[in-house]
Amino acid sequence: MKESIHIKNLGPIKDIFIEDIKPLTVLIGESGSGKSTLMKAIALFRWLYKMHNIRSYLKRSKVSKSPFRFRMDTYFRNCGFEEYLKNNPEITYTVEFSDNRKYSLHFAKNKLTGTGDKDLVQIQDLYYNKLSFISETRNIIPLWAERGASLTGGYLGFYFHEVYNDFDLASENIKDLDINYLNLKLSVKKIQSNKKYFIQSPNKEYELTLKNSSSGTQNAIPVTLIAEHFSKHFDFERAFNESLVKFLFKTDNLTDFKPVKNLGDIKKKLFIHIEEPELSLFPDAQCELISDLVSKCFVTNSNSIDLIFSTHSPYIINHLNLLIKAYDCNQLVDGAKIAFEKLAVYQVEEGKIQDLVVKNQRIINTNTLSDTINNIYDKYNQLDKDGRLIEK
Amino acid sequence: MEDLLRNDFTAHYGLPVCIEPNLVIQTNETYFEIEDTVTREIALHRINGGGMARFSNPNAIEITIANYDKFVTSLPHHFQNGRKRCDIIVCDDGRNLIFGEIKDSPNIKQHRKKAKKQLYESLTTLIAVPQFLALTNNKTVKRCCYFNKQTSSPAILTATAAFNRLSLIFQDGFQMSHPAIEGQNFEFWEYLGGHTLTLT
Repeated sequence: MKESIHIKNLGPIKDIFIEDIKPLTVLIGESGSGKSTLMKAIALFRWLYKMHNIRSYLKRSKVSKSPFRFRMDTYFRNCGFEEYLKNNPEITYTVEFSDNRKYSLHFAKNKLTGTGDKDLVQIQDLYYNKLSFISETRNIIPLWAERGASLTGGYLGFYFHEVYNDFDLASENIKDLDINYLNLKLSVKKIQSNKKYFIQSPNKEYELTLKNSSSGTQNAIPVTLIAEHFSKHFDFERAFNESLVKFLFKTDNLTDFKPVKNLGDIKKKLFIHIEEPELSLFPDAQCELISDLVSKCFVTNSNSIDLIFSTHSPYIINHLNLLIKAYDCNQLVDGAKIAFEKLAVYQVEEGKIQDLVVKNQRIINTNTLSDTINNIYDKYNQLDKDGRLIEK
Repeated sequence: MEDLLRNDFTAHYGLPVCIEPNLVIQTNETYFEIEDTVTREIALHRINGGGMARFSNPNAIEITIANYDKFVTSLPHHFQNGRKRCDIIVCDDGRNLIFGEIKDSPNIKQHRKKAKKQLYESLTTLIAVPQFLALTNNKTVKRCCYFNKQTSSPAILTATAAFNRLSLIFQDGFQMSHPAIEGQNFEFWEYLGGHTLTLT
């Protein structure tokens, strides 16, 4: 399954084409460059393709009535894209299989195409996918979890509730989790009918509630907990059956349903999208967090996972070079390694992307990320020499 | 290359023959560096760190270096007006054909962006000349290169050196993606600091 995406005129994005979305894709760029927009657009179209697969499965299983309609205006509003519609954005997302079998979803002139009955996914290409979007609003989770009961009915935006639901689901399965890169442990306890989240030092010298822990801890814990959940604990069968039964009941088609393929025979994939995993962390911890994520998604995982994250951190991109070398040397660094061929790093700027993968070496070009430090000391040297700043 | 620029290029664009002196220099040194001087001349250095773009020439091939910037600047204003141009074109009788934009400057980020445009526009301007297009067909090493000699930080601070360590690990320069240049069957390469282009 090879994915590509072409986006034109979507907010800060002028024209971005990714021919092959790699299993680990990293986006770096200035604030407002379009990293999040790109990641949200990819996540949205992956979700649309997932739903198209479910619809294709049901149609091929003799369920004639469509269980749902795609409402792009709602999805664009959820993504925060509604103001971008006036520029007539165009998005084409394509999934390609061997023998040149392709499925394309195309959005243009405010209309989605590629999801009709003539476009159904063939039986051998059916996938059941699960998506997770860990937004930067995750820092509200500890407070929300603490006071959730008193905030019933409150709405903090689509992405917050998506990440909160994943966090809540993950903490149903995982009660204790070592956060090695922070030298801490997360403990989930049931007190009366509520879940409470605690942070403990390794030898239990102290324990405090998650909402009173450091900002770095509050940002990092949801990332690690959700990644651990999807890596090893996510129950595809249960999730799929729940979706299926819900749709069949909704359309009153339960008796018509003649499964064309067993769930066990359908390929499955998890897609995790993370906004700035490094938020509020010191550089050392940033690198260890990335090792932990790569380990969970590509080394110790039971489920097949693709990971995309955005970042502002040159440390993280440099750290990826270490993980590539670790793979080439068949070693693990903090439990992690990544194959060069599975990785892409794009710098997003001026509405376009620059591929940072070096073609003649097995590394990522981090030189562009050193420009800031070079500029600081170039200016320092000029001031030192001339007593005033002279731009060449 | 000199004849191609002075005669074929100008004839193709309907311009008078270029009579600007010292457009081209030649060398067969096994190591040389090129400096783009403030007077738009090209100077060769044999000492490490003397120039801005580093070349290794282990087989002592006869190399021609054309001052493309000076050449375009010598042409009538109506032609050069607004036309982006790179600094040099390096070639030999063998397989090498290199476009180069060379800098010794802060603001690396801005210059990289500008250099890509200068290189691409120089390439398309020249490829439109049939004699140049024919020349490219005989070459196998076809590169558009951005060179920048990096400056250093105060000696007691290691941050700059630490952030630039990748350039010390790999000496050959980095081939990066540039779809427009690749569309012309050339490659885009970046040479920073100690990176050296080896001509073979």
